[in-house]
Amino acid sequence: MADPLDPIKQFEIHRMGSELKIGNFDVSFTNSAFMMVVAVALISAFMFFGTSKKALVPGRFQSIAEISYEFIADMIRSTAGKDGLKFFPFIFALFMFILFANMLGLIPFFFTTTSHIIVTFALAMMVMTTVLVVGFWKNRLKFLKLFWPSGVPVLLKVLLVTPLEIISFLSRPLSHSVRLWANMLAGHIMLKLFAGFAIMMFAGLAGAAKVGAIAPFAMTVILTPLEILVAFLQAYVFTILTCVYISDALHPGH
Amino acid sequence: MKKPQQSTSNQDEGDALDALGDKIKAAQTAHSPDIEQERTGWAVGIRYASDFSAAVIVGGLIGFGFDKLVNTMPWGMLVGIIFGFMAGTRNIVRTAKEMSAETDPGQDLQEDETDIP
Repeated sequence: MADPLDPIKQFEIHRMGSELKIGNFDVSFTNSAFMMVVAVALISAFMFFGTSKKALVPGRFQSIAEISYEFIADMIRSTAGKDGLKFFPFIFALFMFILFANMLGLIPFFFTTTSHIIVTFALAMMVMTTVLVVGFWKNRLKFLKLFWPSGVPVLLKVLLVTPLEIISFLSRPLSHSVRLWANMLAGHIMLKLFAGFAIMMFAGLAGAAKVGAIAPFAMTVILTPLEILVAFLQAYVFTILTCVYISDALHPGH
Repeated sequence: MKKPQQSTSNQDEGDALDALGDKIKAAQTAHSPDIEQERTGWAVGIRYASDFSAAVIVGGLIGFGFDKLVNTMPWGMLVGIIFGFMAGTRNIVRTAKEMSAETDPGQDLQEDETDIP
Protein backbone atom coordinates (compact mmCIF):
# COMPACT_ATOMS: atom_id res chain seq x y z
CA MET A 1 0.00 0.00 0.00
CA ALA A 2 1.23 3.44 -0.81
CA ASP A 3 2.56 5.11 2.28
CA PRO A 4 0.42 8.27 2.35
CA LEU A 5 -2.70 6.14 2.05
CA ASP A 6 -1.87 3.97 5.03
CA PRO A 7 -4.95 4.25 7.30
CA ILE A 8 -2.90 3.70 10.45
CA LYS A 9 -0.33 6.36 9.74
CA GLN A 10 -2.55 9.14 11.04
CA PHE A 11 -2.10 7.83 14.57
CA GLU A 12 1.67 8.14 14.58
CA ILE A 13 3.15 10.43 17.18
CA HIS A 14 5.88 12.79 16.10
CA ARG A 15 8.10 14.93 18.19
CA MET A 16 7.72 18.64 17.63
CA GLY A 17 10.75 20.75 18.32
CA SER A 18 13.71 19.52 20.32
CA GLU A 19 13.87 16.50 22.56
CA LEU A 20 13.12 17.03 26.22
CA LYS A 21 13.98 14.52 28.90
CA ILE A 22 13.28 14.25 32.60
CA GLY A 23 15.46 11.44 33.86
CA ASN A 24 14.81 8.56 31.52
CA PHE A 25 11.38 9.76 30.50
CA ASP A 26 10.88 11.33 27.13
CA VAL A 27 8.67 14.34 27.75
CA SER A 28 9.14 15.96 24.35
CA PHE A 29 6.36 18.05 22.96
CA THR A 30 4.50 15.88 20.42
CA ASN A 31 1.77 16.41 17.89
CA SER A 32 -0.59 14.75 20.38
CA ALA A 33 0.33 17.28 23.05
CA PHE A 34 0.02 20.02 20.47
CA MET A 35 -3.55 19.01 19.63
CA MET A 36 -4.41 18.93 23.33
CA VAL A 37 -3.07 22.46 23.67
CA VAL A 38 -5.09 23.51 20.63
CA ALA A 39 -8.24 21.96 22.11
CA VAL A 40 -7.71 23.66 25.47
CA ALA A 41 -6.93 26.98 23.79
CA LEU A 42 -10.06 26.75 21.64
CA ILE A 43 -12.24 25.85 24.63
CA SER A 44 -10.80 28.72 26.65
CA ALA A 45 -11.28 31.16 23.81
CA PHE A 46 -14.81 29.91 23.23
CA MET A 47 -15.81 30.20 26.86
CA PHE A 48 -14.00 33.52 27.28
CA PHE A 49 -15.60 35.21 24.29
CA GLY A 50 -18.89 33.49 25.01
CA THR A 51 -19.11 34.95 28.49
CA SER A 52 -17.25 38.23 28.12
CA LYS A 53 -20.25 40.25 26.94
CA LYS A 54 -22.73 38.99 29.53
CA ALA A 55 -25.61 40.31 27.46
CA LEU A 56 -29.11 39.75 28.79
CA VAL A 57 -30.21 38.68 25.35
CA PRO A 58 -27.38 36.36 24.32
CA GLY A 59 -25.62 36.60 21.02
CA ARG A 60 -24.46 33.59 19.03
CA PHE A 61 -21.37 32.76 21.02
CA GLN A 62 -23.04 33.40 24.33
CA SER A 63 -25.97 31.16 23.33
CA ILE A 64 -23.67 28.27 22.57
CA ALA A 65 -21.78 28.80 25.79
CA GLU A 66 -25.05 28.89 27.74
CA ILE A 67 -26.41 25.82 25.97
CA SER A 68 -23.27 23.85 26.74
CA TYR A 69 -23.47 24.94 30.37
CA GLU A 70 -27.11 23.95 30.69
CA PHE A 71 -26.60 20.69 28.84
CA ILE A 72 -24.02 19.51 31.36
CA ALA A 73 -25.80 20.97 34.37
CA ASP A 74 -29.02 19.15 33.42
CA MET A 75 -27.10 15.96 32.84
CA ILE A 76 -25.54 16.13 36.29
CA ARG A 77 -28.82 17.03 37.96
CA SER A 78 -30.68 14.12 36.38
CA THR A 79 -28.03 11.46 36.96
CA ALA A 80 -26.14 12.45 40.11
CA GLY A 81 -28.70 14.65 41.85
CA LYS A 82 -28.33 18.23 43.07
CA ASP A 83 -25.26 17.59 45.17
CA GLY A 84 -23.51 16.30 42.08
CA LEU A 85 -23.34 19.89 40.85
CA LYS A 86 -20.24 20.38 43.00
CA PHE A 87 -18.43 18.42 40.35
CA PHE A 88 -19.67 20.62 37.56
CA PRO A 89 -16.27 22.16 36.75
CA PHE A 90 -14.62 18.77 36.47
CA ILE A 91 -17.37 17.19 34.39
CA PHE A 92 -17.75 20.22 32.18
CA ALA A 93 -14.01 20.33 31.53
CA LEU A 94 -14.02 16.63 30.71
CA PHE A 95 -16.91 16.96 28.30
CA MET A 96 -15.53 19.99 26.52
CA PHE A 97 -12.07 18.52 26.22
CA ILE A 98 -13.26 15.20 24.80
CA LEU A 99 -15.74 16.90 22.50
CA PHE A 100 -13.15 19.31 21.13
CA ALA A 101 -10.49 16.64 20.83
CA ASN A 102 -12.90 14.36 18.93
CA MET A 103 -14.15 17.11 16.68
CA LEU A 104 -10.69 18.48 15.91
CA GLY A 105 -9.60 14.99 14.99
CA LEU A 106 -12.16 14.94 12.19
CA ILE A 107 -10.43 17.78 10.38
CA PRO A 108 -8.10 16.36 7.72
CA PHE A 109 -4.39 16.25 8.69
CA PHE A 110 -5.25 16.87 12.33
CA PHE A 111 -4.31 14.42 15.01
CA THR A 112 -6.94 12.81 17.23
CA THR A 113 -5.69 12.75 20.80
CA THR A 114 -8.56 10.56 21.99
CA SER A 115 -7.60 7.83 19.50
CA HIS A 116 -4.76 6.84 21.81
CA ILE A 117 -5.78 4.62 24.67
CA ILE A 118 -3.26 6.11 27.06
CA VAL A 119 -5.01 9.47 26.79
CA THR A 120 -8.49 8.08 27.38
CA PHE A 121 -7.15 5.83 30.12
CA ALA A 122 -5.62 8.83 31.86
CA LEU A 123 -8.99 10.58 31.66
CA ALA A 124 -10.76 7.49 33.03
CA MET A 125 -8.24 7.20 35.86
CA MET A 126 -8.88 10.84 36.73
CA VAL A 127 -12.57 9.99 37.03
CA MET A 128 -11.90 6.88 39.10
CA THR A 129 -9.52 8.70 41.44
CA THR A 130 -12.17 11.36 41.97
CA VAL A 131 -14.79 8.70 42.66
CA LEU A 132 -12.58 6.88 45.16
CA VAL A 133 -11.43 10.01 46.98
CA VAL A 134 -14.89 11.54 47.13
CA GLY A 135 -16.52 8.24 48.02
CA PHE A 136 -14.26 7.59 50.98
CA TRP A 137 -14.15 11.22 52.05
CA LYS A 138 -17.93 11.64 52.01
CA ASN A 139 -19.06 8.26 53.30
CA ARG A 140 -15.94 6.94 55.07
CA LEU A 141 -16.25 3.17 55.23
CA LYS A 142 -19.88 3.26 54.21
CA PHE A 143 -18.53 3.61 50.70
CA LEU A 144 -17.64 -0.08 50.84
CA LYS A 145 -21.38 -0.79 50.91
CA LEU A 146 -21.04 -0.54 47.16
CA PHE A 147 -19.52 -4.00 47.36
CA TRP A 148 -21.79 -5.24 50.14
CA PRO A 149 -25.35 -5.06 48.83
CA SER A 150 -28.18 -5.66 51.27
CA GLY A 151 -30.70 -8.43 50.86
CA VAL A 152 -28.23 -11.13 49.88
CA PRO A 153 -27.26 -14.07 52.14
CA VAL A 154 -23.84 -13.51 53.73
CA LEU A 155 -22.30 -16.72 52.40
CA LEU A 156 -23.31 -15.84 48.86
CA LYS A 157 -22.00 -12.33 49.33
CA VAL A 158 -18.57 -13.46 50.49
CA LEU A 159 -18.20 -16.13 47.83
CA LEU A 160 -19.75 -14.50 44.83
CA VAL A 161 -21.33 -11.08 44.94
CA THR A 162 -18.53 -9.09 46.56
CA PRO A 163 -15.73 -10.43 44.31
CA LEU A 164 -17.92 -9.80 41.31
CA GLU A 165 -18.71 -6.26 42.43
CA ILE A 166 -15.04 -5.56 43.06
CA ILE A 167 -14.02 -6.86 39.64
CA SER A 168 -16.87 -4.94 38.10
CA PHE A 169 -15.76 -1.77 39.85
CA LEU A 170 -12.13 -2.23 38.89
CA SER A 171 -13.09 -2.87 35.29
CA ARG A 172 -14.75 0.51 35.05
CA PRO A 173 -11.72 2.64 34.18
CA LEU A 174 -10.74 0.10 31.55
CA SER A 175 -14.14 -0.12 29.89
CA HIS A 176 -14.56 3.64 30.29
CA SER A 177 -11.39 4.31 28.34
CA VAL A 178 -11.75 1.49 25.82
CA ARG A 179 -15.19 2.70 24.81
CA LEU A 180 -14.03 6.15 23.79
CA TRP A 181 -10.76 5.00 22.31
CA ALA A 182 -12.21 2.16 20.22
CA ASN A 183 -14.90 4.39 18.78
CA MET A 184 -12.49 7.12 17.77
CA LEU A 185 -9.86 4.72 16.45
CA ALA A 186 -12.27 2.60 14.42
CA GLY A 187 -14.10 5.61 13.05
CA HIS A 188 -10.94 7.30 11.88
CA ILE A 189 -9.51 4.16 10.32
CA MET A 190 -12.78 3.60 8.47
CA LEU A 191 -12.90 7.15 7.17
CA LYS A 192 -9.30 7.07 6.04
CA LEU A 193 -9.76 3.65 4.46
CA PHE A 194 -12.65 4.73 2.26
CA ALA A 195 -10.98 8.01 1.37
CA GLY A 196 -7.82 6.09 0.51
CA PHE A 197 -9.82 3.69 -1.70
CA ALA A 198 -11.26 6.61 -3.59
CA ILE A 199 -7.80 8.02 -4.28
CA MET A 200 -6.34 4.64 -5.19
CA MET A 201 -9.16 3.78 -7.56
CA PHE A 202 -8.99 7.16 -9.23
CA ALA A 203 -5.24 7.00 -9.64
CA GLY A 204 -4.97 3.32 -10.45
CA LEU A 205 -7.77 2.68 -12.89
CA ALA A 206 -7.69 3.75 -16.49
CA GLY A 207 -10.18 5.73 -18.53
CA ALA A 208 -13.89 5.28 -17.85
CA ALA A 209 -13.22 2.93 -14.92
CA LYS A 210 -12.18 5.99 -12.91
CA VAL A 211 -15.91 6.63 -12.40
CA GLY A 212 -15.91 3.69 -9.99
CA ALA A 213 -14.03 5.86 -7.49
CA ILE A 214 -17.35 7.59 -6.83
CA ALA A 215 -18.53 4.67 -4.67
CA PRO A 216 -15.85 4.90 -1.93
CA PHE A 217 -15.97 8.67 -2.15
CA ALA A 218 -19.72 8.57 -1.49
CA MET A 219 -19.04 6.32 1.50
CA THR A 220 -16.60 8.90 2.83
CA VAL A 221 -19.21 11.60 2.46
CA ILE A 222 -21.81 9.44 4.22
CA LEU A 223 -19.45 8.45 7.01
CA THR A 224 -18.32 11.96 7.86
CA PRO A 225 -21.58 13.16 9.45
CA LEU A 226 -21.83 9.80 11.20
CA GLU A 227 -18.38 10.38 12.64
CA ILE A 228 -19.39 13.85 13.79
CA LEU A 229 -22.34 12.23 15.57
CA VAL A 230 -20.08 9.60 17.11
CA ALA A 231 -17.62 12.28 18.21
CA PHE A 232 -20.37 14.08 20.07
CA LEU A 233 -22.02 10.91 21.34
CA GLN A 234 -18.83 9.51 22.80
CA ALA A 235 -18.12 12.73 24.64
CA TYR A 236 -21.69 12.55 25.91
CA VAL A 237 -21.47 8.88 26.93
CA PHE A 238 -18.14 9.46 28.67
CA THR A 239 -19.52 12.34 30.69
CA ILE A 240 -22.84 10.73 31.56
CA LEU A 241 -21.06 7.62 32.83
CA THR A 242 -18.76 9.86 34.82
CA CYS A 243 -21.89 11.37 36.37
CA VAL A 244 -23.20 7.88 37.17
CA TYR A 245 -19.93 6.89 38.81
CA ILE A 246 -19.81 10.10 40.83
CA SER A 247 -23.41 9.47 41.85
CA ASP A 248 -22.24 6.08 43.13
CA ALA A 249 -19.57 7.83 45.17
CA LEU A 250 -22.04 10.33 46.62
CA HIS A 251 -24.80 7.87 47.40
CA PRO A 252 -23.47 4.31 47.70
CA GLY A 253 -25.85 1.44 48.26
CA HIS A 254 -27.94 2.15 45.18
CA MET B 1 -27.85 45.73 28.42
CA LYS B 2 -25.90 46.54 25.34
CA LYS B 3 -28.88 47.29 23.18
CA PRO B 4 -31.07 49.96 24.76
CA GLN B 5 -34.72 49.74 23.89
CA GLN B 6 -36.06 53.22 24.36
CA SER B 7 -39.64 52.43 23.48
CA THR B 8 -40.28 50.03 26.36
CA SER B 9 -40.52 51.00 29.98
CA ASN B 10 -38.98 48.86 32.71
CA GLN B 11 -42.30 47.20 33.48
CA ASP B 12 -42.90 46.20 29.89
CA GLU B 13 -39.41 44.93 29.59
CA GLY B 14 -39.86 42.60 32.55
CA ASP B 15 -43.09 41.27 31.09
CA ALA B 16 -41.50 40.79 27.71
CA LEU B 17 -38.63 38.92 29.31
CA ASP B 18 -41.00 36.69 31.25
CA ALA B 19 -42.91 35.93 28.09
CA LEU B 20 -39.68 35.20 26.29
CA GLY B 21 -38.61 32.92 29.13
CA ASP B 22 -41.90 31.03 28.92
CA LYS B 23 -41.49 30.71 25.18
CA ILE B 24 -37.97 29.35 25.55
CA LYS B 25 -39.15 26.85 28.19
CA ALA B 26 -41.94 25.67 25.92
CA ALA B 27 -39.60 25.34 22.95
CA GLN B 28 -37.08 23.44 25.04
CA THR B 29 -39.60 20.92 26.32
CA ALA B 30 -41.10 20.62 22.85
CA HIS B 31 -37.92 19.30 21.35
CA SER B 32 -35.21 18.48 23.79
CA PRO B 33 -32.38 16.77 21.94
CA ASP B 34 -33.16 13.07 21.73
CA ILE B 35 -29.67 11.75 21.82
CA GLU B 36 -30.70 8.28 22.84
CA GLN B 37 -32.81 7.96 19.75
CA GLU B 38 -29.90 8.74 17.50
CA ARG B 39 -27.54 6.37 19.21
CA THR B 40 -25.78 4.31 16.59
CA GLY B 41 -25.76 0.55 16.87
CA TRP B 42 -21.99 0.71 16.57
CA ALA B 43 -21.67 2.76 19.75
CA VAL B 44 -24.01 0.43 21.64
CA GLY B 45 -22.01 -2.57 20.47
CA ILE B 46 -18.71 -1.08 21.64
CA ARG B 47 -20.25 -0.19 24.95
CA TYR B 48 -21.37 -3.77 25.60
CA ALA B 49 -18.13 -5.21 24.30
CA SER B 50 -15.94 -2.93 26.42
CA ASP B 51 -18.05 -3.55 29.52
CA PHE B 52 -17.73 -7.28 29.13
CA SER B 53 -14.13 -7.59 28.01
CA ALA B 54 -12.84 -5.11 30.58
CA ALA B 55 -14.22 -7.25 33.40
CA VAL B 56 -12.67 -10.41 31.94
CA ILE B 57 -9.30 -8.70 31.54
CA VAL B 58 -9.36 -7.23 35.03
CA GLY B 59 -10.46 -10.55 36.53
CA GLY B 60 -7.68 -12.34 34.69
CA LEU B 61 -5.11 -9.76 35.78
CA ILE B 62 -6.16 -10.02 39.42
CA GLY B 63 -5.86 -13.80 39.22
CA PHE B 64 -2.48 -13.48 37.51
CA GLY B 65 -1.22 -11.10 40.18
CA PHE B 66 -2.41 -13.50 42.86
CA ASP B 67 -0.53 -16.29 41.09
CA LYS B 68 2.65 -14.25 41.00
CA LEU B 69 2.42 -13.59 44.72
CA VAL B 70 1.53 -17.07 45.92
CA ASN B 71 3.10 -19.07 43.07
CA THR B 72 0.09 -21.16 42.08
CA MET B 73 0.58 -20.55 38.43
CA PRO B 74 -2.46 -21.38 36.32
CA TRP B 75 -5.13 -21.65 38.99
CA GLY B 76 -5.53 -18.11 40.18
CA MET B 77 -5.73 -16.84 36.64
CA LEU B 78 -8.32 -19.47 35.70
CA VAL B 79 -10.51 -18.61 38.67
CA GLY B 80 -9.95 -14.92 38.00
CA ILE B 81 -11.04 -15.24 34.39
CA ILE B 82 -14.15 -17.19 35.41
CA PHE B 83 -15.01 -14.49 37.93
CA GLY B 84 -14.25 -11.91 35.27
CA PHE B 85 -16.73 -13.57 32.94
CA MET B 86 -19.38 -13.43 35.65
CA ALA B 87 -18.62 -9.80 36.45
CA GLY B 88 -18.69 -9.01 32.75
CA THR B 89 -22.11 -10.57 32.40
CA ARG B 90 -23.21 -8.55 35.39
CA ASN B 91 -21.84 -5.41 33.74
CA ILE B 92 -23.78 -6.15 30.58
CA VAL B 93 -27.02 -6.73 32.47
CA ARG B 94 -26.48 -3.45 34.33
CA THR B 95 -25.73 -1.56 31.13
CA ALA B 96 -28.78 -3.02 29.42
CA LYS B 97 -30.92 -1.95 32.37
CA GLU B 98 -29.47 1.56 32.27
CA MET B 99 -30.05 1.83 28.56
CA SER B 100 -33.65 0.68 28.72
CA ALA B 101 -34.23 3.09 31.60
CA GLU B 102 -32.77 5.92 29.50
CA THR B 103 -34.98 5.21 26.52
CA ASP B 104 -38.07 4.71 28.66
CA PRO B 105 -38.90 8.15 30.02
CA GLY B 106 -41.49 6.86 32.49
CA GLN B 107 -38.77 5.32 34.60
CA ASP B 108 -36.68 8.05 36.15
CA LEU B 109 -33.42 6.88 37.60
CA GLN B 110 -33.08 8.77 40.86
CA GLU B 111 -34.83 12.08 40.96
CA ASP B 112 -35.89 12.29 44.59
CA GLU B 113 -32.58 11.69 46.25
CA THR B 114 -32.54 11.62 50.03
CA ASP B 115 -29.27 12.92 51.39
CA ILE B 116 -27.04 10.36 52.94
CA PRO B 117 -24.72 11.95 55.49
